[in-house]
Amino acid sequence: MIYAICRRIAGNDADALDATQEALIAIVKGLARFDGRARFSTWAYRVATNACLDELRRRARRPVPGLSDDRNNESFVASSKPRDPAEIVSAKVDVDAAISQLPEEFRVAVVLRDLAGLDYAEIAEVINIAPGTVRSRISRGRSRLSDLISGNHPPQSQRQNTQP
Amino acid sequence: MIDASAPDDEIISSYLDGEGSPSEVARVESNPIWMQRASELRATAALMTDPVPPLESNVIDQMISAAIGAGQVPANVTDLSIARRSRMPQILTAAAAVVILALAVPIIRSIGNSSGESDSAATSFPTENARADTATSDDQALAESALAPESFSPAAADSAGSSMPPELPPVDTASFDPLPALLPDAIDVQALQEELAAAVASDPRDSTSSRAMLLQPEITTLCADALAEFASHSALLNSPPMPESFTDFSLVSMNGTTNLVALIQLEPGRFIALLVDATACVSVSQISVAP
Repeated sequence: MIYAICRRIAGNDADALDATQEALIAIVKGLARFDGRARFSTWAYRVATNACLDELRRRARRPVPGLSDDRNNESFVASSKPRDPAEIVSAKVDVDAAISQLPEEFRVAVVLRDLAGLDYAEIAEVINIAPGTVRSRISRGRSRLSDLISGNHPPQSQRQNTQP
Repeated sequence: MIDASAPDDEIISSYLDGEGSPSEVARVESNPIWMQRASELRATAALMTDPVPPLESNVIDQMISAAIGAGQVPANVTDLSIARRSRMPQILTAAAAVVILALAVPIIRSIGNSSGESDSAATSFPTENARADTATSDDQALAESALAPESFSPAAADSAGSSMPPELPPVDTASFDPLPALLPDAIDVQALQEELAAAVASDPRDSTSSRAMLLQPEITTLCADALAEFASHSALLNSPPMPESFTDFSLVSMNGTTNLVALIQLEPGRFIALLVDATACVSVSQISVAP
């Protein structure tokens, strides 16, 4: 799961492997500080997430892997632009490329929720933000991801979102 | 008033996660347009669960080994010097901390139980007797003989405390065993810490400090020397360990007192763990570890 989280956050194998290695090292080094107040998995995800983000920030000068500039405004659906949810799921979607287009704070929240299965309170603990902010980030991340995948880029005003 | 034709993604998203309030749930489920949007977001969320290409087992093994290796302080005295300069608390490898804490509990308890006996043997501990004690490989015997941190004699401290061994043969760190091999299964670290804190509170340093070697109260510099001194006079050892054999260090706060713990590898598969009152550089206890 640590690798999967890093893979989704990093968006490519090479960075994910390095980030996973850093995460594992951070976990080993930090085990002595695990105080049992949180679930071990939550604690490990927090350490891993921070390690992944640190690793990626060290590489911030590198271009977004797997995503050339001319794709930035394109759909991430390989075929047409399906609108039906079932089509979206079944279409060949470059999930990593789409996720990599999300702002980091949205990406992490969505990954921890939809991949790691953490609830809002746990995510709030992992990334040290308020649960309400978690809710907002997940929502906005999913909205943007949905638009990216469907090839639909509506103006922000066309769809409500409680928090700006 | 929200227009029913304009779904609120935040409400819908939290609805999908089971985090919506009852009113929000009702609001989503009563509106076909919002439910349609919920289906879209659900499909998007499902993409995230697409399996990530799995790593090969050998890659996983390498990464874990590398992490464990990186978590250990390289076994040489240079690290101690760095630590002394930085005066920052050492970050202990978790494995070492768990091992040492696990080992320290019975040791401290034993010190408390046998403090009277220990006092009588405090000021000197004949090396011959010590080595006789170590003739057995029985762990319990080793542990009992380890209850002689007081094996430091003032004379020994005077003679050896001022100088380190001038030349030390290299240590083949590649032969060191991975620490996790020593870890008992399912150690509850927090419980151990609490137990240890309770044990410390019940006695021991007061009874041991009078007979342990007290070095100068300068923690980071002198505790390293204390450890080396401690190890070189260990009653457990057939031959004193080299400072390079120190494999892990940490400052651990127990019952409000900072304690220095160190794990020393004598040879592959054989360690001793030291517990030192870092506030006064008083050696508290040691134990032999034979996994």
